[in-house]
Amino acid sequence: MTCEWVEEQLSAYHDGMLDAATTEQVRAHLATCERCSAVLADYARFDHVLAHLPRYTPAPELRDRIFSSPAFREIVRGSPDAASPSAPAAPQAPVSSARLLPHAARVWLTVLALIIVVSGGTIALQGIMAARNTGPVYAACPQALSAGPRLVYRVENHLFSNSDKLICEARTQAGALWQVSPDGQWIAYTDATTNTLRLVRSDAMGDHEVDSSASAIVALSWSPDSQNLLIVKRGGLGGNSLPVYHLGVRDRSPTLIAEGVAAQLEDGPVFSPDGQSVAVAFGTPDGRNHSIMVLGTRASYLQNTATTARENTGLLSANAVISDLAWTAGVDPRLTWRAGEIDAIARSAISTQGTEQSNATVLAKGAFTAAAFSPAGGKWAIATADGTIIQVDAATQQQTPLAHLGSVTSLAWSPDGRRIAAASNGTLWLVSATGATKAGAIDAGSNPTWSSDSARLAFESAGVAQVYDLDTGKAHAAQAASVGSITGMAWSLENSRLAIWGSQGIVLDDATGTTLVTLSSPPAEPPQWSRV
Amino acid sequence: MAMAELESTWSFERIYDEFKTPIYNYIYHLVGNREQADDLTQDTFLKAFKALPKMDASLKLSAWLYRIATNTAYDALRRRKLISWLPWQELDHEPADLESADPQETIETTELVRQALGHMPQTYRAALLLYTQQGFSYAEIAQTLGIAESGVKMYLSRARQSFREHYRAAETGKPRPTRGVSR
Repeated sequence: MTCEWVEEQLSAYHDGMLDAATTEQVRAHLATCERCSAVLADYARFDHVLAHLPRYTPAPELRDRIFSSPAFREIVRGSPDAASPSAPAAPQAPVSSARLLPHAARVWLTVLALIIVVSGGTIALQGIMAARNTGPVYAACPQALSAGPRLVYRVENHLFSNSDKLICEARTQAGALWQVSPDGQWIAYTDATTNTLRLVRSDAMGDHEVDSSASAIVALSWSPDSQNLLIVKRGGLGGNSLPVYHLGVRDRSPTLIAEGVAAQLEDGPVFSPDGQSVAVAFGTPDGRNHSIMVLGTRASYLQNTATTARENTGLLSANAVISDLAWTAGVDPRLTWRAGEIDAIARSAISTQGTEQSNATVLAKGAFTAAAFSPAGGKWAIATADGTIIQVDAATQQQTPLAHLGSVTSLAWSPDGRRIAAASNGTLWLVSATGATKAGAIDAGSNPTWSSDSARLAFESAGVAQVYDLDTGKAHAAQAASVGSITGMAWSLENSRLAIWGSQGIVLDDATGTTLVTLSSPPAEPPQWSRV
Repeated sequence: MAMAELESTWSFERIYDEFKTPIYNYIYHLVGNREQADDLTQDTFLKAFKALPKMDASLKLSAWLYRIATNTAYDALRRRKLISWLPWQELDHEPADLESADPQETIETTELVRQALGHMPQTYRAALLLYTQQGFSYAEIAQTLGIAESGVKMYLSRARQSFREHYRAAETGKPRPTRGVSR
């Protein structure tokens, strides 16, 4: 008899599951074999350890999540009316505040289940199906909205386009998640009344449902070509799922690129410039783990391979939240991001890496007062605590000091990656490789906003919007009507209009000081430009 | 109808109340991640509630619930392999009952168990947890995992060998946990 053979029997021997003859053989071997006896002793010890592991009580919220979920309500609607008032009452549950007694509980609950099941009737599915088929019909707007640049914004759960209603169905309750496609042609929005994610054309036509569980959606992202819409959605397989909807191919079902990602969305999702990949940052709620996933947008999760980029956490505190996820432009896009404590950037770090799985490269770390990335230039701009603006190349890691301005509170790259608008001590500066130029005097929140052609820079000064023209080197007032305290600005896609919004409303200007439209309600979220 | 809904809700809630802790702990030890255990526990109960009215009267509720929990967790683990990035996570829930006299020792042992469970094959992990934690018999494990009783003998043998190997490795190779414990 060998030790190997005995070891194969030891588990069943320990459980008393061997026949008498084998039991006797094993016992005889154990009497003389220290090694096998030690294994048996371990088995006993580990059984005890496993049986006495701390038991964790699920959070009370879990109960609410289950019993207030739409899925549960549907189950109750469809369950047999077995448990009618005439059904026998279920016995009182045994009190089990101390350790559970699994066997006793099991026996009792089997009885309970039998009571529920045996007295069951037919399942009333018809009611559920009928409810599904009576959703609201979306009233088309009487006519398509007129052509031109149109500002989309939400006020009191209604989506507007300029001052026209974008959604003409009266019961629609547009939620905070909505997004205009990069080409300005489509608006994805959520409707709380029907719990659907919907698409509507920028001229208010063609409204249709895309996804039927809008309340689970936590983020929306358009691909750069406006042909794909990625959503991040809670639920299903114990985590987030990431379906991609394809606009270009009619009736094509979405591609599920990830499922079961059990963590909270931290930043992104951000499509790569070629639309082939998407980067998304997740963090565990305890703040101990932060990861970035890179997923192919064409492959379903069954074939997809996630690439993870993990911070070198030795450099960072536990609260090293990931933000500013971005891709560099060009044929070999690199992913770059910022990792640091929000509101305490002394421990910030900025890293970049390719899409291969590897540890991140730390580009810069230290006490930054502001940082911004330029996809076009592939460079970060960083303002250090002593007021120096440093340019860091994400590919070569080369650092170049550009200017010393004193305390810098914000940085904004021009879209062409050639200049940085830097706010410092009441002045907005334009910083480039050749030095710094004054653009104008500013208040604390200057909201510097570049036109997409990098030719003009809008900013707030003395409570009104100004536009600095790089050709003339001069700034002029660009806002005739007041919006109260300015909270944001946005150029239309072709830069012919400037939207300025604040605590008292929105104005659309032609950027020369002529107000075209005044709206007296403040927007719920930053407005976005569409194009008809 | 409203009364019937109320009654069946009450019954489902009773099942949840009785099984939430063992099912949650079982799933947690299978997947090793608290957030995921929350979600998978929810999925398990919703799947069970949905299927329960259609089940035969001879249903063994406990084994059946664990079977759903096992399959739900396996499904998640299979996907995690495809999208594998989350580390095996520590729990920071307050334990429902801690019996050990020495909290530090309990935490250290728990950490070793967690590591050993995390490294062993999931099929064996389920069998070991059902036997040691849930007090299942060989027959009940067979029913839950959908295998023959003779298979259970083999599963448990492999499970104990694997657990022992990984626990020993963790015990000798692992630095002591740094997590503070108030005494």
